[in-house]
Amino acid sequence: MFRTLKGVIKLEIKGSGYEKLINDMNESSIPCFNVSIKSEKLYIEIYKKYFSKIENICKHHNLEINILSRKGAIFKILKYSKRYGVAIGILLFLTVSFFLSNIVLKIDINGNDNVTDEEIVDFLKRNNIDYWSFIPEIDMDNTGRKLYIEFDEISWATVRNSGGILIVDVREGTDKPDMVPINQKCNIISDKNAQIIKIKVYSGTPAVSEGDGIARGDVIISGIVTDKFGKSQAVRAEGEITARYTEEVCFYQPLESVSLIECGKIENKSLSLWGKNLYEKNNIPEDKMIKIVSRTNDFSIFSIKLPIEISTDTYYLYEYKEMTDTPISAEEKCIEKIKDYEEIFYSDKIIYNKEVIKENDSKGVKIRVIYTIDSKIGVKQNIIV
Amino acid sequence: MKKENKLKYYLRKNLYLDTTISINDNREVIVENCKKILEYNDIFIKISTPTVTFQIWGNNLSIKNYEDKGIIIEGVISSIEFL
Repeated sequence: MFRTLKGVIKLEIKGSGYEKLINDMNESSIPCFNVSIKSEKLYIEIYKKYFSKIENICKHHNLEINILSRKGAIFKILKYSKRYGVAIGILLFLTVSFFLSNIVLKIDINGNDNVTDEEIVDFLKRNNIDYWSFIPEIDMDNTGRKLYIEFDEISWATVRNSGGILIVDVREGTDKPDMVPINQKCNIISDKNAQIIKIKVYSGTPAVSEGDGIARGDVIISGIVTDKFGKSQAVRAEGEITARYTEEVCFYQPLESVSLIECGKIENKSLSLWGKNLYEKNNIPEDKMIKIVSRTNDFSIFSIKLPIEISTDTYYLYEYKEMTDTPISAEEKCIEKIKDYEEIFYSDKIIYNKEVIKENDSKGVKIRVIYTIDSKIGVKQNIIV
Repeated sequence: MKKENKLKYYLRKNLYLDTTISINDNREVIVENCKKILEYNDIFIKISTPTVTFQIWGNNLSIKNYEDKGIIIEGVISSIEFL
């Protein structure tokens, strides 16, 4: 086996005084095997690497040398070594396999019901992830996080890959049904000082009618029902009440403030082979506050993870900065705050009217907004019988 | 035995420099610490070792392996003579 790996040549030697040849070979530390003499010819097997030495010895002893056969893997390899097409083919095959194993060929989205595949693919495209994207460049963890921040319906998401398939696993949150004790008798009372616009009663007795003004704590739908015989009984009041009420919110932006702002981003990449760092770049400024986001990208071929890793540490640099605003820029910031507030708190309500009152002083800009809101009101108040 | 010879014999034995000849049936002869092949053809091999010279007679004698002063001779062995 070992001999075959090294490559063995069978020689036929013609002449006389073969013992001299064998002794010279032994002196030159050339091993030989299966030495025999037939018809006054010497047949001998040697390793391929000693052939030139034996040729010289034979020349020295005036012996004629012929190669009878060659055995071993080395000869097979040598035979194909000049066939560049095979080598190029293998190289091309490996390159194509490596390329196809590290690019997104298919996007597989699982677990979505309310959010469509198209919406998720669009989101991935906005985050520079598309078909033919280079997988080691994709920040899987961050993309997963962004995904469930972007869609309210998604409560959890992960992005991973299996070869050239990018798998997006999504779990959508389902609203828990209210744990309502159906036998619990109750009234519906107002939680706002408001004017009733619309009232729908499913169960119970309406205590107010459309257009009435109500104060906080007033009963809107009573849980006491009196039948035609004058007999009263307590029920669970159910209904929908839409009312108009006002709310005042105050927004303030000081002209001078200290804020923590992002002042730059540094990416350090390191290349490691079998966990050993081959290349590392490290240039982190020490005088800044930093937030580090690390990610490691693997390479694979035929879904087999290769021992090469590229680690990327992203350093977000922060510093405290004294911000000085002009009254105009401070007002703009206040308006931004108002927009954010409305988006968060009034997205499911109708703003019927909005009255804006500006109050500037030497220290900042104050904006008071009086909202008139049309919205559903009412909370349940249990009746203890 | 003289004192020098005794020492020589002792050292050779303990340093494994003695010639060892193993014969397996009449098919194989294994010689260790072989110095030289003095003559070789298909019926006769004459081998010199540091301590002894001997010759093997037989038919179809072939050297199966010759490496690091060890030699394996195969064939139909008819006689071994020490000279």
